[in-house]
Amino acid sequence: MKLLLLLALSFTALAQNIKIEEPYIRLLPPSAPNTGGFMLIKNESDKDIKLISAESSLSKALEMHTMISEKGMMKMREVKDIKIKAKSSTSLKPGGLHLMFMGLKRPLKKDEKVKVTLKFSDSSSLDVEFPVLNK
Amino acid sequence: MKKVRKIVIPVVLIFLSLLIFRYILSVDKDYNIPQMPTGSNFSFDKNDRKIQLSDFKGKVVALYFGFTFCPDVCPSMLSTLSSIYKKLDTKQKKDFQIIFITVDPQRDRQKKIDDYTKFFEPSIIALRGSVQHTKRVAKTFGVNFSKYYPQKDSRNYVIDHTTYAILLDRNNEISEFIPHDESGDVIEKLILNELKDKK
Repeated sequence: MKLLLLLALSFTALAQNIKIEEPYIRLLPPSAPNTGGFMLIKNESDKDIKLISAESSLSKALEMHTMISEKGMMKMREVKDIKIKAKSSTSLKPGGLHLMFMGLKRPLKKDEKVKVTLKFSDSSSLDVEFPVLNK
Repeated sequence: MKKVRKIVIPVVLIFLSLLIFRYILSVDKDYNIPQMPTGSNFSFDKNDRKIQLSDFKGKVVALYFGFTFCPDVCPSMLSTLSSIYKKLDTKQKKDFQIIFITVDPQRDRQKKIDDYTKFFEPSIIALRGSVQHTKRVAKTFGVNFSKYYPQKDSRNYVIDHTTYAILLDRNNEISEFIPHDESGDVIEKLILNELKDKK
């Protein structure tokens, strides 16, 4: 019985307390090797949750990045996770936190939808369709 | 006596090192006082042709230092500048030039930056030179950039860089520094204003 319970727990649950709004991937020229993904992540639960990873078949690697401004220079750095506080939201937007699709396997097409799997610290996960937008 | 020495010597050493540290800090500070960049008449070779900033005297120029690996800030600025350009009338278009200079010449070949900028607006002029040359030119506009390796493997790097665009008047003099997060409306006003000024 214990084993069963453990098994059940180890299956990733769907993240029901997390809502994603306005996800999009930025359309870039075919010669661009990378692109960014943006969205608003809402945490409707009463516990802080972290986005711990994102996966997609669009690029060789998918990382979470932030932009740091230092002495007038913008520095892009990888972050381990992105925190979404309880009953709050975190915005991934240009010039700040974003998903970084590194090494695009193919050129992007406007308005196509790209599936991204988001994994959270409460071991839940969420599949999100990101439209490719020119904005 | 020995005991006293044991205490005094480290204290003196700490005091001395603090003094030296302060000195280094203050030197660094003096060194860092920013001077207003004045720009320069740069020159780059493009497809066996020499392109100089002074070729565009009489036009308003928006200058941007960026690179194609940049997923975020560079395309935002290029796309904003391009959409403003597209809205101009024929006369204004003739009087306005967007110039893109890559800060990543190692990965950004000429064709790559041409294709890249064409996507935003075909009239953009994309320039590429050696790292040293680009650094020198960039510095005159107050733009700095350097490589950063997230992992210790030497292949993948990102570039930390100054992200403002520079608006130059018809005499190639710097008129505005435009922060990357400035709104499109404000940038449009700045450009239209500059286009109005017939000095």
